[in-house]
Amino acid sequence: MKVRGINILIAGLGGQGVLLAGDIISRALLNEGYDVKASALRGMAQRGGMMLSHIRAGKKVYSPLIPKGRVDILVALELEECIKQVEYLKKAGSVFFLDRYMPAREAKGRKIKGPHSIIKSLKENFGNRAVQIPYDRALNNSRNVKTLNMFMLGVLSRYLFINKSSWFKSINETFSRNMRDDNLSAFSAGRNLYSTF
Amino acid sequence: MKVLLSGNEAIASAAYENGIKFAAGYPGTPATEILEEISAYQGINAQWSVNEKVALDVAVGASLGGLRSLVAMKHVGMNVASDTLMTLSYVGVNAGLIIVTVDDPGMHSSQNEQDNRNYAKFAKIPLLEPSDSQEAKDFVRIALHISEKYDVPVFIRLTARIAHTESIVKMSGNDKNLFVKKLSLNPAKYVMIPSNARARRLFVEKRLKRLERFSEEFSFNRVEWKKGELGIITSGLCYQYARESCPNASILKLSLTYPLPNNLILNFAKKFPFIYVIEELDPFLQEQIQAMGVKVKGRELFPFTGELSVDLIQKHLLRQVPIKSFSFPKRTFSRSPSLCAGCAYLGLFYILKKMKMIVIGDIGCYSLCALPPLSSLETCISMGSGLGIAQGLRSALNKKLKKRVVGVIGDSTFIHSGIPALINSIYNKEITTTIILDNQATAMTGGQDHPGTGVNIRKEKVPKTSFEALTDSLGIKKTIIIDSYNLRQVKKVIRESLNYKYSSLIIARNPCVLKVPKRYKRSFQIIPGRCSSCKECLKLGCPALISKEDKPYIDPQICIGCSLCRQICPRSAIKEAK
Repeated sequence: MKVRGINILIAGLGGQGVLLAGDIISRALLNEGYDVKASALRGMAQRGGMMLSHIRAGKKVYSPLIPKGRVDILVALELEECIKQVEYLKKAGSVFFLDRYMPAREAKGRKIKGPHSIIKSLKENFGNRAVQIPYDRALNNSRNVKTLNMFMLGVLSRYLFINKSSWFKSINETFSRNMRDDNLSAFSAGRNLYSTF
Repeated sequence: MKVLLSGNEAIASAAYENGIKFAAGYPGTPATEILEEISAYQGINAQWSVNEKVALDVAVGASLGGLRSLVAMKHVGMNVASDTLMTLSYVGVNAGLIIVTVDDPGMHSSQNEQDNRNYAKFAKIPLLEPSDSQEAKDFVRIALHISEKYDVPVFIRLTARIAHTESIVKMSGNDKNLFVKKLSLNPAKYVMIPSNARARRLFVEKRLKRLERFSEEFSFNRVEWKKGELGIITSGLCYQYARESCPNASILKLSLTYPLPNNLILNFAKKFPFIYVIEELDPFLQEQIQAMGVKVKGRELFPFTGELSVDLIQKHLLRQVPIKSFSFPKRTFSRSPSLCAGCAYLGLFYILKKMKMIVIGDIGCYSLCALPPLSSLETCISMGSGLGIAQGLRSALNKKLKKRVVGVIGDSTFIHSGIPALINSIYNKEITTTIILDNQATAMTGGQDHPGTGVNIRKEKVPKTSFEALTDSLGIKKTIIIDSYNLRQVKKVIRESLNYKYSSLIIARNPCVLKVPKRYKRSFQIIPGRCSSCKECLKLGCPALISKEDKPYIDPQICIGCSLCRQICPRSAIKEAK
């Protein structure tokens, strides 16, 4: 255990693979020897609702939910869900966001922040701790909208202290053989996105 | 070996490891995965029962026959099973019998927020509340021990957050203790006619006294002494919130929360001027501890509804100023759940609304039709209640309005508890129009099979319940099967049914789109020149249809090609995409 612990929040919409992404991170953290809790309520979110997955790791974890202002890393698969959760971030926290914008049906015809102003504010406030992942490139590189979550994890894996072997062990355990290749290749594509930086 | 398991998965693995041989339940978020996981184990006879009462009854039978048994259901399912439960308490068990109930504080996917711990007190049976997956696993073993030693069914009560949180569990191996009990017939114990019941009634009280003594000694009811000034009594998940937010407080963590260990509580409480009780939902512990004469603060400090959290304890109990976190000048909207793109209900409910029908329904995906833009469902109370309410409502209305009442019910819900209501309408000469929304799945909870699909939990083929043959035998004069993707037919059939002088049944038979994905292998698009932006298509509430720069737009990633929007477009501006 190189780091004392970490709180990761994944935000997105039902169907985007938020739960699965949470499972993979938490198993990778388990492989690193941490106590881990991962919490996400399933149910209605399948029908297009918001989806949140709390992942906590440390020597001993009590509450499965991360308290406000204590999230180290926010991973967001949609911009509006991203700004809903920023208040949970630590001041020194980081945010990895896919720049995909799918406003809620309920927001129709009302004044809301557009995608550009959301991205601008995120960058202003978090500087280089706001890591933008371009949707077009992610979709291109992972070749499948269903593995975008894996692509995101790939990007994240470059910044996190988790060993490569723990990631791959977790991914191999999670997927059955016929799903594994697609997901592994999306993860690897994400891992290589910013490798040139 | 250490693995990450959700509370539900932990219960299932413990069932296997502790020789449970029979398991039953009815799907219901957040409890569904318990039975699904159990059914994957060899050697456990698992079943989706038609409803929770039947689930409990078959488990009672299995216990009587000598099998360790488990029943799992969501909190409201317990209401259905409660008729058996209240007398089962008198009867007791032969082999161990566990009832797992999963409450839903915050109503993430439920119609109410009832606290099922009250059932333990009501039925006078022991109640275990695990605080993580490891305890969920351990408590199955302990519950079996209590059940067999004290001749009592045992409650394990989870909340949605425990059921769906993964935490570390130590796996110990499988099914070592080969457990065998023999059938033991004993009318004095199992036939609850008054003379026998009076004797068992006394047994229940004596058993409760013995269980109280067990609760005092039970090692999972334990005190964590710390140097701080606060004394806290808590149970279940709230223990985790309390431990994290008050690291210096002494905590009495209760795991067997009915019956309570009086002496343990009094000895703990006398060390402090007053005690904080931290619990979600009802003041279940608080009221009992207050009745012991202890000065208690608790429930009144917190919001009376929803889940607790570290944040809430810090704010309301510790009066700590919240950490100044990053605040974002924002305006966002919560997303309400919607039906799936291309769901067969979209067109049917669109037509029902157009025809100004008064649609009476209950629990299922169709509950979502109450939300805009469909806004075409007037009731949702409990499983199967729609058909009964529709009858009562019709008898209260004048001729003109009465015709417009239609009862809708899902296929699984119809089998769960709709059939008696339909018989009731025939028997009492109330003319009704009923629509069975037969999507051949228990869709809302993830598409589980049921008797109407002809497949059981182990994916074996079984005789299929025929709604037509069944309702025919009840005296329904006219049964029409419709295709909900043919809106012209839907409209015609409903219009005709308005004038029937006898009860009729419409079976809208289209499989759940999640069960047969990509059925149409096509998608639709809007022809820009022809679309006048009247937005009629948006009234379907299909998630594939969105408003883009104030014009309707079909998202080709989401569209399944069902053609419902093409059928309702007044300007024929929607065509198949190439």
